[in-house]
Amino acid sequence: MSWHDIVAAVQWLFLAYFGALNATYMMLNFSALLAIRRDSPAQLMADLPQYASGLEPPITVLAPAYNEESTIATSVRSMLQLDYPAFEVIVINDGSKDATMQVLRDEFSLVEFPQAYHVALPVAEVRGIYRSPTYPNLRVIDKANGGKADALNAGINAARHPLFCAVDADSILQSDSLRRVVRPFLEDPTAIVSGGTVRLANGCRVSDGFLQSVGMPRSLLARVQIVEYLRAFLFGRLGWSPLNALMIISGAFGVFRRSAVVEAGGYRVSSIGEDMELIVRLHLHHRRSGRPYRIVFLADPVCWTEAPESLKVLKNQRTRWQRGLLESLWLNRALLLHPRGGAVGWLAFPAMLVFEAFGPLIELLGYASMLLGGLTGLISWPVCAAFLVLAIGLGLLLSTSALLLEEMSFHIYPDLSHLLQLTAAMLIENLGYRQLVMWWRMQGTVKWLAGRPSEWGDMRRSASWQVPKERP
Amino acid sequence: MAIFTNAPGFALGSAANSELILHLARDVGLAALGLTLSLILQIAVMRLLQRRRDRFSAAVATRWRPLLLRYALGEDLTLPSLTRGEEVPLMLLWNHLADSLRGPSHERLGRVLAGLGLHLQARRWMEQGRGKQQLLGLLTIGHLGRTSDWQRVLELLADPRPYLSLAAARALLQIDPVHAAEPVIAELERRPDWPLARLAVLLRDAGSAHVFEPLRRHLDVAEPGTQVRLVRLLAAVDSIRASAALEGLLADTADNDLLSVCLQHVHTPGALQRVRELAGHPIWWVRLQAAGALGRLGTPQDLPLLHGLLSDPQWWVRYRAAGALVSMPGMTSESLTGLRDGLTDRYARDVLTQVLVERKLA
Repeated sequence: MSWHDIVAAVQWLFLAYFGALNATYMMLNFSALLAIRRDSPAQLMADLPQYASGLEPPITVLAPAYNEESTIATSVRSMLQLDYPAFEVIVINDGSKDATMQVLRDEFSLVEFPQAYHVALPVAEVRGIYRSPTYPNLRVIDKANGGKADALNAGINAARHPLFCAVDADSILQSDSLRRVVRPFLEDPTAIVSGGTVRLANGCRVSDGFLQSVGMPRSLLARVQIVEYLRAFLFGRLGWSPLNALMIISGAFGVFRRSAVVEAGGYRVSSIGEDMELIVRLHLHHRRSGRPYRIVFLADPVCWTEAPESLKVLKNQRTRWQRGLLESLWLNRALLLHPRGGAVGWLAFPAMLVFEAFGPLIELLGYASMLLGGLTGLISWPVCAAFLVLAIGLGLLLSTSALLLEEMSFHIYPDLSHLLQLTAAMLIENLGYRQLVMWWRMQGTVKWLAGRPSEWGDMRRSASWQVPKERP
Repeated sequence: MAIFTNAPGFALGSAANSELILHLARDVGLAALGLTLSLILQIAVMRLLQRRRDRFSAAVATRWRPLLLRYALGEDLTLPSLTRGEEVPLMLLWNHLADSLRGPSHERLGRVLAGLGLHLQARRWMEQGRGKQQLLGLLTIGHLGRTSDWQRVLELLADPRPYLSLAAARALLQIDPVHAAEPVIAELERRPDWPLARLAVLLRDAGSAHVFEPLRRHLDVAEPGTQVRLVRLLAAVDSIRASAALEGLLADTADNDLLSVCLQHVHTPGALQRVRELAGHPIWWVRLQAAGALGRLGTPQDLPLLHGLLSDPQWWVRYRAAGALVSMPGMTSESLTGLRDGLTDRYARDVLTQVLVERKLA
């Protein structure tokens, strides 16, 4: 076999990979489109005035916080204002090194609370549990640092309700989001998890816990991430959900049946991608036992969160996500092609493995081989250009179709200028940004393979979208 | 076009092969770019149309909301005639108002719609429309409450789309709650996809006088899984009458889920003896609800039983038993503190301490 044959084989492999990748995403896109069309009339009823039935299951909102002094008060205030008949909020201060605990004490006049702490899941030392006399449904757990998963487990131990909603402490929930996200639990007794959409708060105006207006961030990096999030949520998740094959519910916003999570062993403390790992494990656990279950994604319950606006922080986030993905797949590899694996074991898991876990390697190899082939003369420049047109063209098509789904369903970004900015961001996403993220993810893969210990890295928030609370 | 420099003419690396790759990659890529452009155009057009619709809807609301409200509240007005395209936004607005009004105001609002001829439009949409339009027509027909629409709405009750069949159930209960209760409850036994919370609201709106007895009758003969749903609905419709109706079920059933849900809703003394028995049930979530029920029904005679549940192996049972103790009549802070101080089991003491502080903070 000559060099030419090898190069041609690589080209065909690259083409086949691209074909399969985009065919899968197009299928998901189509599935999401059907879901949006199917749910669209029902939205009319959901938009009519809603009255509490008294049957809504009470929910514990769990907000793990680590060094969140700039956003914690606003976030907690937003959680306390949720429009839902019965809920409590538990903030878990996971050994923050900044003034998170002090801010909570001052803002909510916390007093120590003698909770008979129930250890269903083992966690790091709990230093104290506090309660707010002003807000009877707010409790704060102060504990030694053990990571986000450990903090969530501590919250699960303290939760008083059968459902818990895991949110990031820096997130803003839309006031009706709990009412919307709990729907699957009201409609289907086998529902164990329900997740909503996460959108980016950068550029929006948030005042005293309420989202006042939606806007575009000034930062180009944040704008590009809006497009990415649209792709991830509107067809990545909405597409898999009807097949009960969702492999991830964002840690920023998801409701879980507490008993199912405790039975599966809670969040894995050593995990860096604890949200995905738990979902994959729940699938495996239920598939093995043969019990019916549903893991559902809904597009209309919305949670707003801040995206990194610096390359350094973004890189940390993406390498961590990649390691979390690989770890989740590896730890639950028994689900892959499991005889009782259903759509998740036979479709979603292999797709995740090939396109997300190995994707960065294959795509970067593809780009590198084109470049190398071009430079050495093994591949002519027209072929290189054709491949570039293919990669960028299909990438743009997928991003645009996510934008179309958004337009058909929610049109959160109302101005025409928003549309223009998103279109420009889409171009940038495909011309450099995606390749950069692939490179970081590749680095994440190498780190995971090297078995380097997981770390959160610097995830400091700017909270630039918050309007400061006015003092009298 | 020569693709490879010095490309040999065979196998994978042949010129023909590379030509094929070139064309395939380029053509698919260009097609994707073309499609992208057309999608962007489509999005822009959709955005412009949506903006126009939003502006138009806002204008319709500005024009009609005060008129509809004034008319509904009893003012005699000569209503303007509809302009082209106002039907959908006006009917949406009308439904929002109709959902918020009751009694004579609601009836007068119905007359407005008839005066504008929109009741015929609503019927047409319900019969021939699709998706949102059909649902809007059905919701409107429900609010209008005309018996002449009964049969057509009844046909939609069995529609496989849950949102539409549920809207039909609601419309039937609005048109004639006396006769609607039976078919709606019979259908709900077949419809696990109907959200219970929404059902509870519409059955409650229909009035316990009309729906309670049919619900109870179905409860007696349903399967345990359906019985659980029916018990919840019964309690949501009329919690006082439900309790009495549940006493018999509580005594007869051995289904754990059913026992648990009945225990959640009984609060009549006739159930007390059975509740006491169930406080020792082997399934913890049955004991949990029994502890709660003892808090509502119990007498001083039940204190030792609750005392024992404070040391239950399940935290949730201990917590509920502590809550029950605190809520029992005659239990003062002093007596509860004394009780706690006398407890030898650490878990029992801790949970009672927590509940006592909770009560103080509440």
